[in-house]
Amino acid sequence: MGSTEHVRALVIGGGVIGCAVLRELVRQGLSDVLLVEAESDVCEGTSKANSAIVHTGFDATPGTTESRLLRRAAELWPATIEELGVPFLAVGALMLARGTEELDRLREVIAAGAAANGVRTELLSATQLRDLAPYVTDMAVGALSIPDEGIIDPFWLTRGYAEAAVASGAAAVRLQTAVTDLVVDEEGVLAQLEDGSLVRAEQVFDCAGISADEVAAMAGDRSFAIAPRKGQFLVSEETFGVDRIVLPIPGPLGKGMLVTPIVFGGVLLGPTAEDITDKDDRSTDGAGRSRILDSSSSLVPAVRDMVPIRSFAGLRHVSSTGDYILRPSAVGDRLWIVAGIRSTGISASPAIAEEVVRAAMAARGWARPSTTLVIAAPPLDLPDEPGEVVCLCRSVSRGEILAAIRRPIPAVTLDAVKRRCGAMLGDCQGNMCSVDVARIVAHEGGLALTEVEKGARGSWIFSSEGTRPGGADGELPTGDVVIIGARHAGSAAAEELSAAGLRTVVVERHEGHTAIGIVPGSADTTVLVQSATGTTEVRAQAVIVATGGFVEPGEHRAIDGGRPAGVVTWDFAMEAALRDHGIGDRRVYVVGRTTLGRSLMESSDHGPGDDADFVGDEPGELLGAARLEAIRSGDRWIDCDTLVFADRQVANTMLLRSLGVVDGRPGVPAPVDRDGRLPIRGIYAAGCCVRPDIDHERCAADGAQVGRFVAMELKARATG
Amino acid sequence: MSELLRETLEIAGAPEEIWSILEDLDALRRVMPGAESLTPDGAGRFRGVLVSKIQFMTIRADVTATFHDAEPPRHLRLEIDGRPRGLAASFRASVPFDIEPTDGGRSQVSYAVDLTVTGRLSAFGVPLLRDTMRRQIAELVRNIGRELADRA
Repeated sequence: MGSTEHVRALVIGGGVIGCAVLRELVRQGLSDVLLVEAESDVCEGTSKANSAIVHTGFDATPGTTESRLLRRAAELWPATIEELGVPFLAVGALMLARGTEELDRLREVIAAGAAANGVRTELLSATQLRDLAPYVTDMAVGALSIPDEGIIDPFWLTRGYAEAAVASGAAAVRLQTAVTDLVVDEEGVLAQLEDGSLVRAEQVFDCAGISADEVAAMAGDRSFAIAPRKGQFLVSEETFGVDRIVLPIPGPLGKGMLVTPIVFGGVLLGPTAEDITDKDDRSTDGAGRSRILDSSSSLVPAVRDMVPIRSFAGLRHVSSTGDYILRPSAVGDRLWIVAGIRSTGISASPAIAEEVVRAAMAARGWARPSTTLVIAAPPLDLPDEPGEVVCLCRSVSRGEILAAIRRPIPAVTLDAVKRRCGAMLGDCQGNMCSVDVARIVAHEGGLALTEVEKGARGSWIFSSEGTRPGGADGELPTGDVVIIGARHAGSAAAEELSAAGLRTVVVERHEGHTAIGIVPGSADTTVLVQSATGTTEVRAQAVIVATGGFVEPGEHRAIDGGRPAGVVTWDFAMEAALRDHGIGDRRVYVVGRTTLGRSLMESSDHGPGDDADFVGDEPGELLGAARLEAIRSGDRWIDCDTLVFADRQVANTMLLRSLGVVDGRPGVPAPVDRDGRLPIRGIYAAGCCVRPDIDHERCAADGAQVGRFVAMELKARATG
Repeated sequence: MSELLRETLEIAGAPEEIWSILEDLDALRRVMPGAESLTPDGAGRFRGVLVSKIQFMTIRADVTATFHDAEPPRHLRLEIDGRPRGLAASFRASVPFDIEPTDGGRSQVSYAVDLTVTGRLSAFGVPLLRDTMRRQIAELVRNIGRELADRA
């Protein structure tokens, strides 16, 4: 065992509360402050899986610590948001009354409570409600408008708190570092960390969220207990016009299920409220999905038809006291308990941090500065030239990924990169780009590829390293027609156009060129192409979109269980295979005896390996918290660590969204006529981005047909 | 291209006074939010660098701004093409302004924003882009008011 490290204050837990406390300590002039987090990133627990709402506390029980701190937080939010540079929108909320009884309750109980809490509200008639929010149910006879409710990005907020503190130089964050023992005495607290090292702190804050009671118990404080309440959510890319938070009148288990916009677009539905006992149970299930859709569609009927792109679950902390627990521990005030923050942790975080830090500092007799210091998060430092696009769905460049990795709290997992720059968050959920992202993470972090994890500790991605390099970066010529995509349809179209004497430019991401946008013009169409060396504008008389398809990722599927690493699609498996990276250690199962599935199995020299097999249908359930452990197929559990979907291909039409010809749902095919024409002049589409279910031969035939038609049209145009 | 925003604002100045700012490059530099540089590039056309804060990210973009359909002092369509530095993205904003005189030497300015974004900007989501655009235009209006007050 090494020497003992000494710090002024130690914060246990890197959730929104722990990180807010860390920053507040620095704002109050303290240095030598350390935060330890058991997981590989901050915001990995409850803080990441919630409705992402900044509540005003309009419905908090008056007189509680919660209601008092929510009001104080409302005063602190404007400066906090500005200093941390956090995505926040004050969209407002509507609490619906569905019937006269609810309307009476809204007026007499909820509105009165809001007034008592100092929150401004306005009662809306059914007509006013309809004018403001035509998407809500016809059953609503009125609503309470709460204009100051807002939405935020929980990851940015939590990270912003931590990064601001670390960038000040007065604080440090240590990830992948769990506390294993605590000894409290009159002089301070001795904490043992998981690597066996010791930290001696004058003051410790227990901000361990769902595990706060277990951390307190290490020190001998068993005065409270935290029970998990699971909340499942659904995410949709379609907004259904929802531009503010829509919620029902609260019930005994909380605010009820709501429909809320997401700050980066799309809507969030949920949460369920399930009192459970397992603090690691973040699984989702069909029953939860049904309840969410039933409840949410009773507020906004259109969401009944939503296509969820993701489901997830979070655990709220239900404390045995029924209110926040913000007090010295039962074994001494050197350990402060900051726990039991059930569902308003984000909303109250600046005020909770302010309160507990001031109280602890007073107890320690530590001097505070005359004015609170401004501890701001450092701005994003993007290079002038973004470099090549790595994440196709979201056009995230290498430069952005590097900037994300190099932040004060570095991104060391794929999930951490995702939350910092949006890479891997798009339609394919990272299946087309996470091999490249993992290679960047490994290179920057000095890690072996096999050491890069998806998120949770133990969520490995690759079983072996491989040796083959990444894609090339060739020169881009000019031409009459730009073809985006060089697979079957694109290549066949290019052949036909060349045969007709037309010059073609083929933009292919595997050759280092990624089309990031199509801008129609009155004469020509411009395609913006990104490569390692910069953005090029390629003008052409016609553009053929032949971006193919991708296999529907697991996140889009209604499969029960968790979301462990090792659940991938054909696209990921083939990208890995092209580089010789192994993707499975024990056993690989492929879903779908399709052309895609067979092509994967037959890739004898770089496929999933000998120990691979087909599984009949999409599994009903996944088992595994970090890495996949088993799948349920029918009534049978099958032991495996890797599952590859190769069954359902959907159209890759992401490029067409900004043109307004497809909506926000993933996989909507390009709407072409029989000649491959899109509704915008000069733009065509062919192959799997139009008909995702066709095979390679038909794809090539389609590309050839569209190529011939475009050649004919251009010749006709040239001859007047 | 889709309409992101349509609003009406009031400015303390007559339409002719507001229009005069458009014909004064130095004044234009002062009122244009985040204008790091702005140089003329032909009649009714400018090139420059605009800095815009999308809440969590400050974007520096190389832009070309062009005046279209000018009907002094009542109507103008501003078109801005931009390429953000550091992001694989582009944008094109078309903003028609209508300026109507109201009482007391003030003007009512109605505008709409049609915005096309490509690449990375598409992923920021409409709510954030709308919020950013609204803030930028509110700042423009404040700056115009301040500019006119300074002149007075």
